[in-house]
Amino acid sequence: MKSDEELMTAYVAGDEAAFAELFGRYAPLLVRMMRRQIRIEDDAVELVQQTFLQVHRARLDFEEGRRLRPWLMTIAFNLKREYFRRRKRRPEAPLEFEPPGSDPGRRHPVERRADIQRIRAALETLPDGQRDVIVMHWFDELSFPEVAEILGLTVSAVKVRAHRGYQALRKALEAMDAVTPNDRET
Amino acid sequence: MTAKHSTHMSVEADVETELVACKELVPEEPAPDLRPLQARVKNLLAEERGLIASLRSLPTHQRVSLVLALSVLVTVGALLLTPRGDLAAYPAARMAITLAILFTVTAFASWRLLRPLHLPPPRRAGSTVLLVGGMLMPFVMSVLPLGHIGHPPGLGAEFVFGCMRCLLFGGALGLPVLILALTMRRAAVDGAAVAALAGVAAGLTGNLVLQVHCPITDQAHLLGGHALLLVVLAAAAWLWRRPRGAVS
Repeated sequence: MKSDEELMTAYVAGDEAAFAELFGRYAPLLVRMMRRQIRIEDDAVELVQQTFLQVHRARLDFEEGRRLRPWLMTIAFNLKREYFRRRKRRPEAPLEFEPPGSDPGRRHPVERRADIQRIRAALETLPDGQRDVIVMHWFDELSFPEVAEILGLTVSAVKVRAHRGYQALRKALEAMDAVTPNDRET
Repeated sequence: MTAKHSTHMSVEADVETELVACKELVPEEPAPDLRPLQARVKNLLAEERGLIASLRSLPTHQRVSLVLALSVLVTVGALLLTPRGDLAAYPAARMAITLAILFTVTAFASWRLLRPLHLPPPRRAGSTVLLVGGMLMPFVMSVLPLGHIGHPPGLGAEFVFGCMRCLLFGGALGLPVLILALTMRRAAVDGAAVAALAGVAAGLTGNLVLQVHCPITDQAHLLGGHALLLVVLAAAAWLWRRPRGAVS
């Protein structure tokens, strides 16, 4: 199987099938990423479209030897940031959380909504810097070096933010469970 | 193993522990159907044809270079075709420094305007400093001592006419830079203030042109006929590219 970078190189050379392959690899991740923090479904999908459009427009900027994943995710992150900037709002905490390889029928929709509200409420208690790192690391499954590259920070700074953020998040979730223990029973 | 390295390892281990704890507290969800989205993206890319799409797709260093090349071209054109009457008497060092400063700020403004999205978000303060500094640059330069007396600016209507003539001449030759810069922008991001940098680049180009064209050295004329050009073109760029909704 070709690597992401090989596919991008092939696309830059004019292979449109390579772009379709890249779409298949990254669209699920991007859709999850956008939906988590954007409540308006059309806007979330529009941002994914715009991400691929920007990837297309910037394809000749992609340098050999670079990793595609942080390169593409930085584009998506910047577009999401712009979306919230225009609405003069801070990013919302995740609307949905859908790590790959999951079982669709495991939970009842009502329970899902309760879980969504819990995690959203917990994440909204975090400062923007910590929340961005946690959303990328946990939900988008990016490595610390990738998060650092996207945010323009050092890896150490990202780890410190993640450490503090996860601690605060766990405490917030546990505090919610203590208040409403029935919500967690399946 | 150093103490610093050990601390980093400890932080990383703690992060993993916290991540596992958090994951246990929330459930997992399925992936969505992406076929409609794929069709829309395909259509979107199919529309990316023609000269404008080609210009936007150029590597960033080429896009910036094109803007700067156009800026140089119109300045050299003005110098060759309509040189200022006092060119021989104008202090050469002052001329060189002025042109170099104006061109350097034009380059920074162009780079910031055309900054690609695959780079981490820049500091907002940097863009503001560039915008304000770029707009103030000709004002500052117009009030610095010249060491040379050029042509008189005239009085009353003649003065106003002289200012208008420079605004129109500089504006006409700066406008192509504004259009090219905004056309080659891939996305209207970071707000209208950054879009206004296209006006700054164009206004500075206009000032480069006027520096080699206009022989009037009176400070009031330099303020009203040259420096004001930046304000006008920055406002035009701000209005033209003010975000109106979707990110695009």
